[in-house]
Parts: sequence; structure tokens; C-alpha cells
Amino acid sequence: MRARNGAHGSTATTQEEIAPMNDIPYQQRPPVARSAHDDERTNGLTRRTVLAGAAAVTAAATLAAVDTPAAAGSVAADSTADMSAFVVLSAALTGLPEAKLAPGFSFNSPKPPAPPNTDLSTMDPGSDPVDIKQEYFDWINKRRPAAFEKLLQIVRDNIKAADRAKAIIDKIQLDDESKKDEPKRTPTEIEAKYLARSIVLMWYLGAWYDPDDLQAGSNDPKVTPNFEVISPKAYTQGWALKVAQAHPMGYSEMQFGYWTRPPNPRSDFTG
Amino acid sequence: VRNSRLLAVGIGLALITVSFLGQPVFAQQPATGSASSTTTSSLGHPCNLLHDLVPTSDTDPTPVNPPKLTPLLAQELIPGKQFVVDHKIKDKILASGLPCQETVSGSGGETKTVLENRQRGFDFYSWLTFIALNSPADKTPIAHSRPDIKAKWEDKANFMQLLNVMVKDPAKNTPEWGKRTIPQECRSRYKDIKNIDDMMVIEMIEETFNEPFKTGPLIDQQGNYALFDILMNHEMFQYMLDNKLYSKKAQQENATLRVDFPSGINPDKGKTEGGDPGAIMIKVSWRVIDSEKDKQKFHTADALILMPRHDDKSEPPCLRKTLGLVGFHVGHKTVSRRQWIWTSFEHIDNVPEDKEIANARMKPSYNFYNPKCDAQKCPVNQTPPHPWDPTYSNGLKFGDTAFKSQISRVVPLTDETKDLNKRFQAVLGDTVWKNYMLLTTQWPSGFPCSTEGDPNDKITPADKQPTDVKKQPDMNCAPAPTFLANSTLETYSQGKDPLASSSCMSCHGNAVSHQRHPADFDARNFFNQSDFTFMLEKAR
Repeated sequence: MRARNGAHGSTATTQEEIAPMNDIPYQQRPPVARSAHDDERTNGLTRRTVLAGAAAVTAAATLAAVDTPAAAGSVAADSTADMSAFVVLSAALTGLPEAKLAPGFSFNSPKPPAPPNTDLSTMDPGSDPVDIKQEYFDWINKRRPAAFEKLLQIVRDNIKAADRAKAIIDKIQLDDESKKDEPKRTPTEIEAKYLARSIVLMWYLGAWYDPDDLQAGSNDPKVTPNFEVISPKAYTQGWALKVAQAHPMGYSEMQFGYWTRPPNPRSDFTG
Repeated sequence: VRNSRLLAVGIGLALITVSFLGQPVFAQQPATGSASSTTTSSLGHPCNLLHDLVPTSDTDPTPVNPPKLTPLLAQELIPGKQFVVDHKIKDKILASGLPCQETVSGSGGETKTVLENRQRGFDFYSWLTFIALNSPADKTPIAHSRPDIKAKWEDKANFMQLLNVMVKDPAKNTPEWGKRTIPQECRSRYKDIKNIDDMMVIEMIEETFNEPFKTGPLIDQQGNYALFDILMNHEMFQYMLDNKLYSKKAQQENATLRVDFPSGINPDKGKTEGGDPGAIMIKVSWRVIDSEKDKQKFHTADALILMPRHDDKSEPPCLRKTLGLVGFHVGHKTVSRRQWIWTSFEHIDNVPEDKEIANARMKPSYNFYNPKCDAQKCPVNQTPPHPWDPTYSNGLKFGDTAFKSQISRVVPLTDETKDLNKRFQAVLGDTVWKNYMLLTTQWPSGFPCSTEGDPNDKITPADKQPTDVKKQPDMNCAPAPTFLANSTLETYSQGKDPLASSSCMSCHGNAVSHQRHPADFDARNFFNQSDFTFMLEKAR
């Protein structure tokens, strides 16, 4: 695994080569600097459309219950590759583009027709001033390291899949239809399934629902899981209201008086 | 449609999981006006093309490949030893002039993130801007400037004070570039001053002594009010003039104008001529200087201060004071950063950082903090007791003579900015300007959000499109850093609380004008945008 700090220098250079327009502005540059990886982002989103049915109602395939010991791998808090894997995982789970969840994220893919980059260690996980991804990453890694590693391993194993998002979702067996197969799965796999749900909620609501609570609620509808808002920053970054073309109560970066006009198209919010 | 379906999945997943929760989840938390390109100032002509990486050539600011830090930054800075700058580098930087547009790169520091590299580039730009604006107005080199020599921004040929633009009775009066209004009260009292028309005049309106959102005045350790003033460059003034923005009535009549100040832009690639600095606004803070010793530590101005009228019968007094510069904000709009670039400097002796107080590593004295007063007796960052208004009899002394502001810096400077400051302070040699430090530069980090105008406008070239404030959800395009407060100008809103703590762009993004929605105009196209400035509210 490459240290994040060490990797940035090289990835930054690559990014400049791909999209130098971003940094050295000129009067006569094209209207919008688009790079090869921008196109890939769009295409990636399109490919994930198949996810529509998969995520909600996937009939789970039965998997051999071979648990991976937690000790077999662990998430490195300062790893570029692990952060990129987390962003890719989050994009698959939420349906939102990687670069929306983590501004500046880039697959650092070469220009087509060369195949897209699938090496997580050479992707740019992005660097933005809010950096909510780091807060979420650290939060999960502190509480659920084994299940988190399991999820990131699923990303690593499926990074080359033609429909990456679908492959990841299928492997996690996120939906309730797969419950009947839980007895055949290892404790870490089950924990990872509910952690994946926690991650979805984390991105959309800025709040933490513990996987155990979600599992208990899944088994008994009368159980109401507890939650905690992760931080003031997380409160402002929840995607649920952005998807609704709105903003959290008490926090808005929209123009004063925006409420007198219809909201912008949802694509302005979600990419 | 596909995106919609995909999003539905994400939301669906969230709802599936949340559906049994049965409780709310957020409950715990609280013009395209015709800007004239007329230029009467030499500031920004030609544009300064220097940046923090070695450029390909003097006419092509593109960094060499692979990128290399400019010699000033590449030089090693040895702790405890004086940083000596090569005189050629020093001369080049000091004479380089005003940048018209930032030139930054995500590369250059191998151990840095893209964001950190760009931040260094913006901070480098800020120092160049600071040096250019504070170079002597008489065009002598800044390396030889005295503390009291007039800086370029103080010269009426380069910048104009806001209250001179927002003329009284605008139906009859029009602001005139380079015309500084000297109040009759000052003329009659100081008849012996020969160059009175060139003096800085500060009118003691509420905005001169009360901080933004009326959070309170700042009182120095001598018991005087800190004073604030706002100025604009010619490009910004001309846009105001062309669109009659100095008039409240004219703003109201021209309600459909999307206010859009001119953007700074570099010359075409390969050229050194051309380009334009675009709109620049400055906000400064001053403290009254009484001692001769202090006059050597600050940049000073011989100024006239018109006090508020006491009653209808008496004349308001006009005071002549030596003022020392303690805070310096610059807002600069560029074609690639339409949300403006926000630069903030302070005097190095203003306040200690919280950490320095905790570790008892403080200087013997500060402008706005008393190290000898304990926290119980002098709690930090408290607003003064009421009443706040200056009084006729006290002059610039605060009414409660026992009160002195006890201010600390809540958000410390980063190590990178401190490093950059040491290098530029060395460049400034023994001038008074070495006593100033950059806090940071706030800039819109979202690409291409900060470059694009209206994304639905597919025809107009990007650099010709107007600033688009209807961007959602973030019209500010992700300010970096998220927060920025000057201890003398946003004293009481320092911190890191979303939307509550000081952020130049988040705050100025809410600025509006006197425009009102016309009854016969489509509400979707009415914006009431003031393009990130509160100046328009001061129209009379």
C-alpha cells in the first residue's frame, strides 16, 4: 500500500498532464476543461444503471461461507489505495459519482482507447477543503475495522469488473432478500453487509447507524436503531437533501433569495 | 433518466434501511454590464505573471515539466538561522507588479496534496499582490520605503474609498474618479494643511468602528477604537459608474441587471502586453498610533477622522491622527475564480494564537491582547460592554476606559503559510512591511465550477460568461480553506462552525443590492446579485 502523502506528488503530476487547463488559466482556453477521466465518470455512472434492480431486490446467490480472518488484511488510515477503494465503494452503494462524493477524485485513466485505470494505488482520491470522506473513513475504521477491510477487499476484487458497481453490490448481498442465506455466511460477511448499509446512511444522512442496530432492526421491525450525527461538518454534507434539491436546515451555500425561484435541475446537485 | 434511476437506488437503499427507524434523522443538530476597459492606473499593467513554480519562460507562465519550485521556495529554510534571499530573486519579486490573475498548479510539492499545492500557489499570489499594492505610490522601490510613505492603494489615482463613490444626493452628483471629498469640518479646522486634498479621510460611520453583522467594536490596548475602511480600484469603480450602482434609486430602476464586475485576466499566451487586473476591493483596519516607537513598527498614514455629529446644532469634530495599518483584506475577481480570491494580512503583533497562550509562549505585548492579564480578569474574544458608539467628548477613545479588547487567534496559521511568510518577510528586508504576515488565501476550489459561468449557456465562451450565482448547491464552488477570519476584521466570528464562523465567500455570497423583483419580470430570471460585495448596500 502506498502512503497517501507519497502518492499525491506523482498523481498530481499526472493530473496536470491530463487536465492542465484547471491550473494554468488562459483567456483563450476552451470553455470547459474536460479530461479523459471526466468521460469515464459519466460512463461509469451509466454502467451502474443496471444497479437499479440489483441493489434493491437482488436475489442473493449462495456463497460458500469461507470467512476471511480480520488479521488477513487491515485498512490503512493513510493509504491512498484504501481511500480510493472507499470512495469507489461509496459510489457503488450510494449511486452518486465518485467525484461528487470526493471532489477531485480521479481514476487517472489514460485517454481512450487505452483501457481505464484499475490500479487503486494510482488513483487520486481527491483533495477538497471539506474532506468529509476522511472523516467517514476514520470513523468506520475505528469502529468496524474487520468488516471495513472486508468491504474494501470486495472493491479490490471487483475493480476490473465491467459493471463495477453491480459486481460490488452483488458481492455484498446488501438487500433483505439475502437474509435467508445469512446462516451460511461468516460473521464478518454479515457484519460487512450491515456496515454497507451504515455507509449508505452515513453519506445520505451524515449520521451513524451502528451495523448491529441495523441488523437488529432488520430482524425485528419494532426495534428502533439509535443514531448519532457524526459531526457538524457531516450534518452539512448529507446527500439526502441535496438529492431533493434542497439543503440542511440552517446551512446553505445557495444565493440569498434562492427560495423565490424553482430549484435548479437535480443534475446540478448530483452531477 | 439513468442517473435518476441510479439515484433512486441510493435513496431507496437509504429509505429501506431507515424505513423502520420512525424518527427524523437531523433532529440533533442545530450583468452583463458594459464594464469599461479604460485604465488610468499602472497597477496590473503589465500583469505580473510570476508564480510559485519555475515558468517555461517570462512570457509563458506554464510550469516547466517536471514542475519545480521557484528558487525562493526551493531554498532551504534552516530553523534558527536568518533566511538570506539572493538579491536577484529579491529584486525580481519586489518589482514584479500586480498579478491580474492567479497562476496556480496542483503540482510542485511531492509530499503535498493537490489542494496543498494549489494553496501554496494562491498564497504566493497573495504575497505578490500585497507587495504590489503596498509599494510606494511615488514609484520608488518598496525596498527603500519608509513606514509613513504612501502606498499605492492609498493613492487616489489607484483606489477610491467607498464613501467617495457612494455620493450624497446621487440624483445631482456623480462620483468622479480620483476625487476625494474633504469634509468642510476638516477643511475649516485644518486650514494650514497644504496637501489636505491628498489626505486619507475616514468618516466615523457605524461600519468604521463596528465589525460585520454589528458584532462589536475592537478596542486596542491604548483604549482606542480600531477603524475600518473600504476601497475599490478603477476597474470596479468604472463598472459602478457605468451602471449607476452608486445610486439606490438607479439600482432599483435597473432591477434586471445581473451585477457582474470585470474579471482579471492574464495576457494571451506568449505575450506580456495586454491582460487586465479586473475588479479589486480592499478592506483595511487601522489603530491609532501615539508613540514614536510604534510609528516605526507599522505602516502609518496621516489621516483625518470625521467624528459623528453630536447633535443638530454642533459641528462634528474632525481629528487628525496617525494611523497604523493592522489588517489588510484584498478581494480580487479573476476570470478563472469568479467567486473572487480572498487574501488576508495582519500585523505580526496583533494577537497571540490560542496555542501560544496555552503554552505561555507570548510576545511582551500585542496590539489587541495583554499577556499580563489573566483569563479570569480578561476573558478572550469578548465583545466590549455597551454603549459601543463613539462619543463627541471621547474622540477615538472607547467610552468605558477600563475596557481593552483581549483577542486571541482561534484558527492558527498553517505551518506552510508560516514558512512562506518567513521567505517573503526576508524579501522585504528591513522595511516596515516585514512586520506583516499572510493569514491565508481563500479561493473557490471546485473545478470547473469556479471557471464556468452559466452551465446552460453553451454559446458564450467561458471567459466571457457572467458570474453565475444560481449555481446549486454551492454557489461558492467549495471555498478553500473553508474558514478565514482576520483577528481585526472578523474578531468575533473566528472558528470552524459551519455557516457561523467567518468565511469570506460564504458571507459575501449572501450580499445583495437594492434591486427588487419587478412585477412584470419572470422570477426565475431575477437574481438581485451583487457579485460578492456588500458595497452596493451603501448606495444613497
